[in-house]
Amino acid sequence: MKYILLLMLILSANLSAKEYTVDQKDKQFTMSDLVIKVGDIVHFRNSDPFFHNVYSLSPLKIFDLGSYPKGQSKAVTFDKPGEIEVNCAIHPSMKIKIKVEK
Amino acid sequence: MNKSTLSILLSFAIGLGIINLSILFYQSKKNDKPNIQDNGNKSQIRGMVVFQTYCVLCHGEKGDGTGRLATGKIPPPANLTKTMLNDEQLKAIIRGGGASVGRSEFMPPWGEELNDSQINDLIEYIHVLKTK
Repeated sequence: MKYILLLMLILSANLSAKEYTVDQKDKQFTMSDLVIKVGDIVHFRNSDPFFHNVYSLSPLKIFDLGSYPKGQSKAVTFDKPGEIEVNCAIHPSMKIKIKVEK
Repeated sequence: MNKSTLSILLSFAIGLGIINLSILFYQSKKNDKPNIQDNGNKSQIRGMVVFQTYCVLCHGEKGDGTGRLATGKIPPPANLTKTMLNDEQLKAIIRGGGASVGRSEFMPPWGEELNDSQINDLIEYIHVLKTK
């Protein structure tokens, strides 16, 4: 019984997580700000005909998705509340702020 | 000289010492960064600008592979101060990225972002990094 309840809890947590897609087009993220909840997933899709390299050095969520070409998408789960700045290593002017709420 | 005067003088001396050490530390860090403004050729200076805009994040200010984004990368970003690659090999890896020559996929292909002239300038600057 205990395990069933735990399983249901895990499943319900996953079901409540939303997924967002942020496009990279014309050397820009298609939005400058995004507000999500803890546990939500953001897909960073490359719609430009050249490579992008999405990363964050914000202490709350440090990641580097590496460089990937047009048509590919890579996802990040944001598991802590706070503000995270996401950039592109190839195009330093690209910037998006992601606010993760509880 | 009473005890309180002595402790004030001692605190003052310690404070001065800390300030001096901070200045020395700052100057030593400042000197870590290659400075070619005075005696570098124009290509090296342009290359330095390209390097600081695009490469410093992984390869670090000194080009030794210890940039802010280098943490945890396997293999780590190349230490450009010790690179054994010749100019043609450098051009190939800069243009096509690490994966194109069987190296790290974290090294992006810069051929779409940098033109031939910028890549040549960058290689000139890598030569400067090697002499530091």
